[in-house]
Amino acid sequence: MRKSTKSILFLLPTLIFMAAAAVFFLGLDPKRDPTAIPSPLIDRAAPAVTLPPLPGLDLPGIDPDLLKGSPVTVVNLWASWCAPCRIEHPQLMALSEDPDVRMLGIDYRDRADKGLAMLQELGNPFDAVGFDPQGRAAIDWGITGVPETFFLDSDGRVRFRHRGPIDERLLEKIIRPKLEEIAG
Amino acid sequence: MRAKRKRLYILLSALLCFGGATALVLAAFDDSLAFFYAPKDLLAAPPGPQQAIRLGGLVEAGTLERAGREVRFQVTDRVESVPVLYSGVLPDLFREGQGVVVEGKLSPNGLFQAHRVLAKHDENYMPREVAEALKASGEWQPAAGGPAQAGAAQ
Amino acid sequence: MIPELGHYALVLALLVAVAQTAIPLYGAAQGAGRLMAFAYQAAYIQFLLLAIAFAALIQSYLVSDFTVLNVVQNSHSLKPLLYKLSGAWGNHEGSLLLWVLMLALFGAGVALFGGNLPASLRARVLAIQALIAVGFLAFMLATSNPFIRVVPPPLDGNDLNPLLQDPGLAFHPPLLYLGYVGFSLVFSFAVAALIEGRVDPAWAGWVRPWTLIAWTALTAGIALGARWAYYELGWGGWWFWDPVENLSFMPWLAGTALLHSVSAVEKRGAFKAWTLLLAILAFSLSLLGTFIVRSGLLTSVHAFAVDPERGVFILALLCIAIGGSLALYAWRAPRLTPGGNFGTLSRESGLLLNNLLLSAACATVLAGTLYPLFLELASGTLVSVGPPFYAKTFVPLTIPLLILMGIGPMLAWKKADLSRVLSRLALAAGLSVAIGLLVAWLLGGGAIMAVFFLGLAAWLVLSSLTDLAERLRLFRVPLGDSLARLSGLPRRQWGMTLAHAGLGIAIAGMTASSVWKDERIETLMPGESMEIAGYVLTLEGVRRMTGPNYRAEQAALAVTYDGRAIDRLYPERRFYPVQQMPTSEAAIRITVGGDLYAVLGEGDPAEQGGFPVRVYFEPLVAWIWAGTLIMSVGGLLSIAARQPARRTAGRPTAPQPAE
Repeated sequence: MRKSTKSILFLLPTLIFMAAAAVFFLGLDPKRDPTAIPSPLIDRAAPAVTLPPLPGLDLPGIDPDLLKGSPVTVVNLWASWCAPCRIEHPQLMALSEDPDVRMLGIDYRDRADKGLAMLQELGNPFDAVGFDPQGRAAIDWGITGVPETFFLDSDGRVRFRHRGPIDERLLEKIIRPKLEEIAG
Repeated sequence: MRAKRKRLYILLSALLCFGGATALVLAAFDDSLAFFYAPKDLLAAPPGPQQAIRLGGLVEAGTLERAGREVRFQVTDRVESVPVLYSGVLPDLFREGQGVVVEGKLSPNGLFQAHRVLAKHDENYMPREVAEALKASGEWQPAAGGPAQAGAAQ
Repeated sequence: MIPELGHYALVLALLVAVAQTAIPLYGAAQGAGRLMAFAYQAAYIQFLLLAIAFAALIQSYLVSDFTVLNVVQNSHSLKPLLYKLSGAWGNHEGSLLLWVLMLALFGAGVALFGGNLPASLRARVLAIQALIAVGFLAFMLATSNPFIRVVPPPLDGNDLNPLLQDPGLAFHPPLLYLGYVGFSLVFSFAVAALIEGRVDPAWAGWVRPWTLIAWTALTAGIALGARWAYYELGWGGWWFWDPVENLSFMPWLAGTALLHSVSAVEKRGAFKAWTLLLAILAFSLSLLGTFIVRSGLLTSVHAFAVDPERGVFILALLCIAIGGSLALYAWRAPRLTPGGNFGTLSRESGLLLNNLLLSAACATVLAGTLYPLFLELASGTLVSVGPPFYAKTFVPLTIPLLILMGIGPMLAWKKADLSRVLSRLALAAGLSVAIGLLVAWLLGGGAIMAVFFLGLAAWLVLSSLTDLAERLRLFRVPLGDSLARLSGLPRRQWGMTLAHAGLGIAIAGMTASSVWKDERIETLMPGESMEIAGYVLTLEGVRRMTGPNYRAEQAALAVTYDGRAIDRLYPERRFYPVQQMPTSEAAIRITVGGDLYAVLGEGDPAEQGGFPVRVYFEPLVAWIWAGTLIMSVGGLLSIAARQPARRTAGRPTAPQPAE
């Protein structure tokens, strides 16, 4: 074998790997990533779902009328068994201090006593809490898991959604500006 | 001269092995792949009755009927739904309103004969094909993290 | 405090790994002994630090420290102790820590047992090993730290996925990682050899035992995983050609090829460049397994959490490790001195053919695993590649391989007399055909391929025995002499014979249980019976019970055969309230002839007229576990073998067994 043929032969594995790596990189394209796909609800009316109130809590449940009217309505899906929900709870408490914001909570696939205990332990940021032990919200709101938060304008349209816990940095950098934008 | 002949033998056997493997792979790609369909696609362009396919979507609420070992239900992507017939024990996490993938063939009369049912095995998990299909129909319930497990029954 | 200690140990380990990479490499280039010697001190410290980190994680799990996010997400105070422990590595972060710990363990192993290695080779091997650790530790600290705290802590955890709460699965990942990571060391040896520009029989002698450790662990790990799927998933199968299974199988195939080619380097100095390539590929495939499972590129029945951000990081790691080593290979390998000459018919050419076939088989598995991804990216079409694909590609390629496995070990190095070997194997071949025909006759024809594979299984066992008998000169010298030879037989010979014969036994089990599996599903009321493979199962009743972290319904099934009561099976349906997840616990009666496998299905007895009961008869499944166990024992024996390469160098030797 001539020398050049030989060195090409030894280079072959590298070339094959480079081609495969390129394909993997395309496969990691964030647009392909399931968790980065925007909600089909964006700029559409929030689902008109009625949920009963969380038993033991002296607040109303979720009702389609509650989704409209306030400059901004925040719908947060949470559960007592969800560790990240605990992480984001202080941020929800902070949000609830804004008078322009109506806070709605949906206690997702949870036990009423445990959900209640969590609100008593960490404080209650919500103006209304719907109880969803069957997880119906997963289909109606199209959620991926808890926590997940939707931001609605005064017409009850979903303008923005965030998946996963809202931490302090996110609250100040992204959520607050969004709220101002939505409130107009 | 001998070294040259030996090299020829080595090259020939390498070609034979990898050529054979390539031929087998190509032939198998032709006839043993199960393509994934959403109900919408299935009705728009039905595959032949011999083609094994996977159908994915949500188990439509209120359509589950059991008669002994036979189970009938509809799989929907919220645009179209397809009736499915399956005989056997359903997987542990088979529920109305939840994600499912059924494997089988579409009969000429439009009934999907399933020989295998895969249901999601975890709160956070949905087979990615189902998520893609629901996304395409605008009914999105994507797969999130968490330990993913799909169960199946045959 | 303990988690912070663990975290701190991880950071220190990263710093040590950086030093362990840079200093010995520089030292080896300069020929500075002191700097090279730093490598093994660093290797011990590195191992110690990671052991501390791992112990800290275990401690957090043992005491259910719910201030640690990882514990919250994967444990629960009510979980049994074993699963609290296994929860520590049953998740992405913890398993990664275990991975790095094993990496350091192998490094420390080289430092400890590598006293007879040339100083520069040892320094370079340890440096490369540390370089891999740098990548993984950086990855862990940046994206997957297991010691992150939760403030405020929840009252209890999310529990481990109930399907993972199985004794087999508790030990499956550590064994698998031992195998994957074992190939890392072989990889380090290969890269070090490329840097040194020298591959010789002594190098192969050092690499061989490490390859064997990795191979043995991987064999046992894959078998345990298959057992887990068989017992826990309740579908009555043991291998699904699922991407995750394939990803552990490919390094095994490459590793098996490597094991054989290393032996050719050791004995004859042949296939040097090819062996280096295989060493790189075996580890690359292990990395690929880690990468694809964790990046969410492919969906699988058993996958960890999916996070594309991690995927990008791992892809970068892969590119550096695989791309870098392959580029080094392309640059340095052509300069290796060509190996020993061999005839067209020789042990070497047999090993070459073995390597080609194994690589081609591995390539078909790779194609089937990655094709859906490629197709989706190219055309957006979603497709799944299932067992029929592998039945048409992988399985046919194993046929020549299995036939060759009987012949290869009896071929002499350099130049073999094929007709003599074949005449000695005639009896084994005749018996195998006879066994195949007997099976076909007993079953009244039917599945030709299955009969053929049973014949091949018999061939593997019988040809291995023939080879053994040849080496003992059985029936040609007095029996006493044969026995004397038996005790003097090298351990590697035993290792090879057991590994080949074990594979034969496992293949018999795989074939029979895939082809002659029987399945019945019926709805039974208490007192009603069903029949399968001659067994009659009667539902005696169903009772409710409570486990430590689950509730269950347990059915009692009386089993009779020929009217005799022989056993009672108790399949369960469990419900784990914390994860809101039901599981099936199959009840299995294991016999040599086949397993009786019962599952209690879900359904309302009032509505459906009984409890759904699913029963399988799986012939010869136990043979798979026995066969793979025998293979692993063979591997262990070979590891323990003394290294004859240097002792017998220059002395003409009798035909030596390959692995």
